[in-house]
Amino acid sequence: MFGKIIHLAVCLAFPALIGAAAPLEIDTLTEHGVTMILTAAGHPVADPDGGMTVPPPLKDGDLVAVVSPSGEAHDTDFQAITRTLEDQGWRVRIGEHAAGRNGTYSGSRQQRLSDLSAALTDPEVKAVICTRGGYGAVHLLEDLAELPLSDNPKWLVGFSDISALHALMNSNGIASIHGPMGINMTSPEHISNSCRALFDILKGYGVKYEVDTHPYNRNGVVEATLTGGNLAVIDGLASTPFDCFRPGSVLFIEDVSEPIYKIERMLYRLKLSGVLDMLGGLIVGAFTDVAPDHNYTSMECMIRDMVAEYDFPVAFGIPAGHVKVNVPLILGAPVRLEVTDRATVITQ
Amino acid sequence: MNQKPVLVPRSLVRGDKVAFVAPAGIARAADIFLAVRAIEQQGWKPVVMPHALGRCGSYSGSVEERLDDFESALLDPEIRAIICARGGYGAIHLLDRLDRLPLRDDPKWLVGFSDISALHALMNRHRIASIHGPMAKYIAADGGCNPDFMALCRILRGEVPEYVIPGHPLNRVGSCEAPFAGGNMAVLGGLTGTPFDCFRPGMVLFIEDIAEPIYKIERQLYQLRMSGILPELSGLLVGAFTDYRPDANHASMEQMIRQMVEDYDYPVAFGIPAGHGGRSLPLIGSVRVKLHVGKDKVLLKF
Repeated sequence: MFGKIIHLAVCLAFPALIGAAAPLEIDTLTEHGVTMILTAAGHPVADPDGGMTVPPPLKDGDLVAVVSPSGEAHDTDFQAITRTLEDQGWRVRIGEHAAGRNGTYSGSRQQRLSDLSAALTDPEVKAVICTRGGYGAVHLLEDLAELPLSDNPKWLVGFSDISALHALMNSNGIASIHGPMGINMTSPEHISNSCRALFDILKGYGVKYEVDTHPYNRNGVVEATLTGGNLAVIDGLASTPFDCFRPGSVLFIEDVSEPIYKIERMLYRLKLSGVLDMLGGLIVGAFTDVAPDHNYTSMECMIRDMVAEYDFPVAFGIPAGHVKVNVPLILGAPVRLEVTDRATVITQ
Repeated sequence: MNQKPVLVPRSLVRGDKVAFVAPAGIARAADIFLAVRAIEQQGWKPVVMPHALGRCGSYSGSVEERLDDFESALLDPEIRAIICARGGYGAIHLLDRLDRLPLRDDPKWLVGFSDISALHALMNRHRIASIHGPMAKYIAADGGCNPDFMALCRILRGEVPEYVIPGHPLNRVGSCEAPFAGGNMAVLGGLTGTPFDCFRPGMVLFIEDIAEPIYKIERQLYQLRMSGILPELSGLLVGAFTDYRPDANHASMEQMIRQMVEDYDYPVAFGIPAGHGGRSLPLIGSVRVKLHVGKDKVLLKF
């Protein structure tokens, strides 16, 4: 789909190996023109600022909760999701209202809140995987923020509207995973490589992605905290306690069905609020369902123009977002972004 | 800048110049032509800025061209009012450079709505009164004899507007007096956290929008709620929300908005005839407004 090669390196998270030289290749996967190489190398688990917690890795028999915080997932095959996760050696608990329906939501605000609260506060649950996005996670933020989330930090997994929950976790100092969701796990016999990478991260491995270079890239190397997600969702949290735009961070953005001018407006907001000026780096994921307009032939073209006056590294064409290959990214955790003439390398 | 007093531009007298600019989208020549006639009929001298009828992509001109027009109009001492030909998208491109102009040295009236809300936000930041009101198409309606243009002319001549607006079943009664600001919800929301953020606790907020789904406006209201603005408003005026459909969660935009402010107790008035619904009742930003929402009518005095 991207017409490029991606090397996915899944690396054992041994802090002792930080800075180790050549990573050891342990497996190679290919899918839709994408090559993913699993290797062993160091995984920087400590936040450079010292404030972020990376949830503990999942072991055999650990409990994983599946919840639907936003849109309804009425027709989703939860049994298949359960089998996919059980095949990883985990026990699975489906949220009480995960398969419900209330308007466009999976449940009333109270129902969705109670499912999320139960999953996030149960010490037995080691990872909370969202079924899908849609719209509605923002309804739960104020109440979820009251929970003692850092008492037993656990992984939260999802993307799109789930970016609101990543902003919640990150604002509580807990790293979380922007990546495949329940609806991407309904074929236990055909696990995508993005899901494999996700499961490996949950088991404590680090990742390294190598993506082909893009003509709009700006070369450079930066190590900083990774933040971001769906741009419309995180933009809608600016100036709230869940504002995730931080000076110095590497920002990842993706979106679907937003016209170019609306994304430009959001980038202008970041420019006028001083965020762009202070950015450590920019990772541009998939912007899908976009039509060219009278001003720009593509979203990427507009984004390139918006960041032309700065000098931080910029990587386009990273396969994350509303696309088939959706590589998991750990938000709120350190990232090394290396953009060169040869390739873009993202290491976490 | 908050400590400075609000400046109200001086009133227009016969022979004063009124500039037409297009800081965002491409304007229709026919609308500007008719609006120019309407301004002439009021005894003012219309000036159509060089790029107001231009075209560059979806804009009336390049950023430089639009900036030049707007800057020239702002700095020309003979021009006493700047009327935007239309909205669209693009005024945000001009903000950081217009911000460096000595706007308070010679304040003049700025008129427009929709994307022009970004320029009202600029004026609000510099504490200069500006008018959320009719643009070329709305001015031209009925040969310039429409009530909104008439109201605009009275404001430009120095009258203080006082409106009586019919009640709305979703209104929440109450009275308040507070600084007024507002405009297009998506445009103002897009300035959150910037120096041009005009959302402040204690204000009377006016909002309108076009072609935004209910959930996107709800998301913006959640942002205002969680940033502490929505709970602290003195009053809320809801203008026209047009070109959207009911969804599985809400029968109307108004119903969703009413639900979003249910936790608070300030006056709320729906159905303010301003926005993209065919009416553009002029509202004066940055100044104080007296709002009284009664059982069957709304009083608004600037």
